[in-house]
Amino acid sequence: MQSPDPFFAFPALSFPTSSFLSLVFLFALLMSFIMSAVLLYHWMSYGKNIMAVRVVASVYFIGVAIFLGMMLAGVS
Amino acid sequence: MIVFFEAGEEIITKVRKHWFVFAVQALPLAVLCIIPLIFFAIGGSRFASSSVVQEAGPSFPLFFAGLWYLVVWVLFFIKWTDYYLDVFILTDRRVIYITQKGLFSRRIATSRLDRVQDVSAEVTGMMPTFLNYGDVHVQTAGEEKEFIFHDLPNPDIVKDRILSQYNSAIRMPRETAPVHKNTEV
Repeated sequence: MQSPDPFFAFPALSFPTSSFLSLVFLFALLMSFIMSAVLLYHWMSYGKNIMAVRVVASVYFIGVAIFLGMMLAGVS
Repeated sequence: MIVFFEAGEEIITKVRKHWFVFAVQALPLAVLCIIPLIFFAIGGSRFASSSVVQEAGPSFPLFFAGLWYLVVWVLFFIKWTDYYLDVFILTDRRVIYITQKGLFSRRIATSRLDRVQDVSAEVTGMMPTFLNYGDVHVQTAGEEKEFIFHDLPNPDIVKDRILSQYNSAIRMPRETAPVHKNTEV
């Protein structure tokens, strides 16, 4: 009898791994949208320095895009 | 800034917490960034032969790293926002201290300068002594007896500015009180 994979237990899920990864990706995408909206709200509301807000928001969104891109590349 | 200033009220000093406080808070996130690298370095071959990687394809580690760093990235900006929105403001009429706790909780404490009774600065610990940051205590005659402004850089200078502005506020009518325009400490 084949012993269970000690490294990862979740391949025993009832649906294919690719579907699971797609769900995780969609969840991450949703989380990113929500967190981006919340952070932007704070930066725009309380940050008087518009230039600084633009720089911070740009850096933030570039990072989010890179990491979501990495996840997308991993799913496809 | 979610503070409404009175007509003619001028900001004398606006100070955030010392950068080292933020660096200490961000340090655990830096450690979290290293974890995937260690994970793949130590268990790389085992990971590659794992059935989940076989099923998901060779780019699964990329997916895992992307998810991990996305969460760390968002956590970093939440911490930065929390740090950035903690502000101490000294105007020619009031002291205002805004404390952001997480993303959805904020406290704004205000005291008029003519209600200030005593101001003291406190630097405690090795790093605060080396980097010169600490707490400023302001005793007031108001409902809130004491304001404590935590981890401000150059607390002695902040204390002196509050006292200087207090003296100006009680000596002169509000309209003619002098304004020192140096807003950074």
